[in-house]
Amino acid sequence: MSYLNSPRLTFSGQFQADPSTVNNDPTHFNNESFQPNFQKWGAGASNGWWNPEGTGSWRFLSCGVKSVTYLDGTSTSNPQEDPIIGMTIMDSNTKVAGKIVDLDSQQQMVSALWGLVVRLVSGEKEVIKSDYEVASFTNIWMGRAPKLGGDTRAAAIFQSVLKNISWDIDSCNSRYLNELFSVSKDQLSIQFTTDLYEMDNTSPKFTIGRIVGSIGPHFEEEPTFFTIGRPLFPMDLSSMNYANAILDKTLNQITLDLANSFQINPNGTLIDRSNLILAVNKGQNDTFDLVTIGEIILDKSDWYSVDAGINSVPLADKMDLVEQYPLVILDGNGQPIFQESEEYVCADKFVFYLNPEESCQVDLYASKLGKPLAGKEISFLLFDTPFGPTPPKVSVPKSAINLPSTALTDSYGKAIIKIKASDPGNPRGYIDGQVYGVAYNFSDGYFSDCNQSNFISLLVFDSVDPKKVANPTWEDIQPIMQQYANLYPLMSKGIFNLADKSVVDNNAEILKFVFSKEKEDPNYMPATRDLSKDKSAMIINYLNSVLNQADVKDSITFKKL
Amino acid sequence: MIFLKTIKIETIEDLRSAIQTAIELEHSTIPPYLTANFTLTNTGNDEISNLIGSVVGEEMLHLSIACNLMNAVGGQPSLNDPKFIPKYPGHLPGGVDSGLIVPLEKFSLPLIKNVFMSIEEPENPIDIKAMATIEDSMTIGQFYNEIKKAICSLESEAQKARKTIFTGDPSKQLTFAKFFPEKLLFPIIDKTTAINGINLIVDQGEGTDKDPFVNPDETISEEPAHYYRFEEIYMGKKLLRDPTAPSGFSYSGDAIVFFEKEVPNMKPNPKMADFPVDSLAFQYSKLFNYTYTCLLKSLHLTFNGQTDQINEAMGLMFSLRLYAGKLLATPYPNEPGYMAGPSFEFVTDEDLSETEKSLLNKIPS
Repeated sequence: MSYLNSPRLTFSGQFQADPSTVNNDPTHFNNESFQPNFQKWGAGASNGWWNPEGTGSWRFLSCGVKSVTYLDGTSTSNPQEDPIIGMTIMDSNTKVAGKIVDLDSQQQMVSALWGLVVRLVSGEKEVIKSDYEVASFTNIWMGRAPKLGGDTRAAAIFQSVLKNISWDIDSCNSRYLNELFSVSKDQLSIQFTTDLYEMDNTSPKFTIGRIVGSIGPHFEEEPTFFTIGRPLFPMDLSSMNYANAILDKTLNQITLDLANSFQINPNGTLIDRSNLILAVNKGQNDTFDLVTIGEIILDKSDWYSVDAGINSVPLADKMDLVEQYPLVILDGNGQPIFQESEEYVCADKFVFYLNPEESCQVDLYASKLGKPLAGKEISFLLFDTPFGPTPPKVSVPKSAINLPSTALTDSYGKAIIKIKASDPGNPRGYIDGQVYGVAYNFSDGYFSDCNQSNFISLLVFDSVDPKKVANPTWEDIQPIMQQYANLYPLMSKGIFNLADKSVVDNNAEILKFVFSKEKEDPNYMPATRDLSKDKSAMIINYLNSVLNQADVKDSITFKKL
Repeated sequence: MIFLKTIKIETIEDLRSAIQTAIELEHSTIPPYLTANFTLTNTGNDEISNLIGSVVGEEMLHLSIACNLMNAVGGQPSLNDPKFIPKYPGHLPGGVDSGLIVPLEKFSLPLIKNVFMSIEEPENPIDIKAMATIEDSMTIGQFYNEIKKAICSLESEAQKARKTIFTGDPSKQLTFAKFFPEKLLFPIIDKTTAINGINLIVDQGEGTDKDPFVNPDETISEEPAHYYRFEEIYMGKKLLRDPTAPSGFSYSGDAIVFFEKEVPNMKPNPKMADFPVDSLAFQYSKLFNYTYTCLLKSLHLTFNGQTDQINEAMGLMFSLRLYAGKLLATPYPNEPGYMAGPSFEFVTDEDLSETEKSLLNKIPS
């Protein structure tokens, strides 16, 4: 079950993403060559890019519930029929906003949301409150809005689950909420697409973009970050982008998520809103023998804002065909534009932080026409093409990554591998650790045939001399603090200049407090979550040593609030 | 000097109502002090900023003490109501109508002299003549004195019936030893701790009749009371004990210099509604106000049984500072020469104005 199943709600509105961009340039990590103008606005490596004073916050803005689809497959977008329509999707109102965080300056294509609270609100009443499991975006598509520039032309999707849910639905009198609670009260699946992000710091909409999404049921044993279904690959990747679909046997329909699949005009409308045809291909060996299943309606004013780009196609008597053959989407002229990737494998979690000698577990799910694909071999490749700005050189030394070359899926189509890291030995000099990418596909396929967003990203940290970790001096932590002061001017100028020993010492208590928080806490420092276990311990040990000295108090913390 | 409306406390309900006024009063000085202080960020005025910041920190302490007192006598502190925030410019909560008008303004020496010192002015400031009192009014010191008297009389009455007015759940008492030593923020559970708490509020604010420095038991390090800290800024010198001066004290210490050049020219008393909805100033103002409202909600939870929420409140306080910085770096729309600034308004994101809604509707979706 997922956000594509019923009972499902859709929402749309705006979001704000306010990342700091001085660190968009890996060379800015070099304290030796850092220049004051790197903290200033302006394009290019000589300045701090488009938002040097970002707070790191990510939040929902003015997001309303637009439609619901009930267990029986019927839908409404009328608040008279279901009072949930028009309720608001919001983030926290009792703690700071969630944070958007790049994995690394050299891997900015899997930015994650940390510490995000998702609430469904009706006026002052909090109907649902939940924690968003940390998730990275994927399927970033730079060709989404081809007439626009920068990241404004891009779209991406975030998929995760909502946990620790508290419900207060008794007085809502909402059929939808009652159904959702009865089906999936412990966890919910959430997915959203973001686009039309404003990067111009003179615009009133600066740091704000458009969002549509969907929330539906989710069960414990299912993947968290993607939906096993009927993956649809565009024939022409320059003008279309990956889509997904599920076969909903209960409702005898195919449900397609096309939200991030088509190009848009600068005003957000589809460039081509012609209706499409869903078909299956009975042909063998790259030939087409098509049987039409039904129509995909795009020519509908609320296709995006109300339906969130999700289409349902009833199957009538064609369920068997759909179970047996791969899906194809045809344009108005009958030309195939999407084809199902018949056999498909996808890693669930795909972004990991590793300290030396730590391992991560990667769960991969293989399917054929949406059904588990057992006994299939998957290959893994540690690749060395960069996936972000350089220098420094990424993916070296390869010896720091220990991963199996292959794995076999079990009877549920699942394969689990462990990737173990060792100390990369500071190959990047001024940036801690190293980033790596691991590609995967079936052993009888090609890595290049994958969805190119589907690879595993790893950030492996350096280790620090244990003696220094245990008994650090200011000189030991100064370079780390200097780097944060350089890269996050809003923090260093607005609150604490971490490069200044007296500031750090005088605020030791509050700094220890935030550096010791759980990484999932939105107040955790550093907001960039790029501090290794050793360096974190070293900083906390330093702060403890300051606090242990007599007469040292946080004399100025409250003066800085 | 601030004059409050005279109050009569006869019942436990009267007492709780007076303590709620105290909570609102202690909060009400924080936005104007913080606003002035935000305008000093990165302007070379750290010393002045630290002085104002130290007062703000103590106002937060006083707010916490007042909330502990409310919980101790079985009341419920209320901080999450739009009415909790006073109007700026305006009178402070409980104040008389003819009293001082408190604005949200950038830092200036006249603001210190005419407003901040006036807020904190003791009944008998040392070396300064007492002001004529306004009829049916009382000073902040007298106001707290009334609360003390009421606690004593209500408690002794209750004791006679083998009861107590301290019926609150002790688990609701906030202590925060990491940042406030227990001698400053402690559980209020009986008459003694209640009186100690109130004395601390009054002494930190006003000092005593004879000594502008706060009793060392009641501070982290020896500091003058709020009034005299502000006067240090205004006089431009640190306050010292001085046996040669008639009062025994003089502003003859190290110079405190105000560098005006870099202070942003914030337009006084900004309002979110005054910013065009399609301006960056509006966006930042809304985020500031939303964060401030979240902070009040977080504090409300803190003082209503979820003491751990103080940790979230701390994060929001820092966040508030960041948005203030963004506002103060944003030109005030259509007012050349002025910058935007914080307005401390209750914004829950649910009350979008009609114009705002129509703007949002214009965005493609």
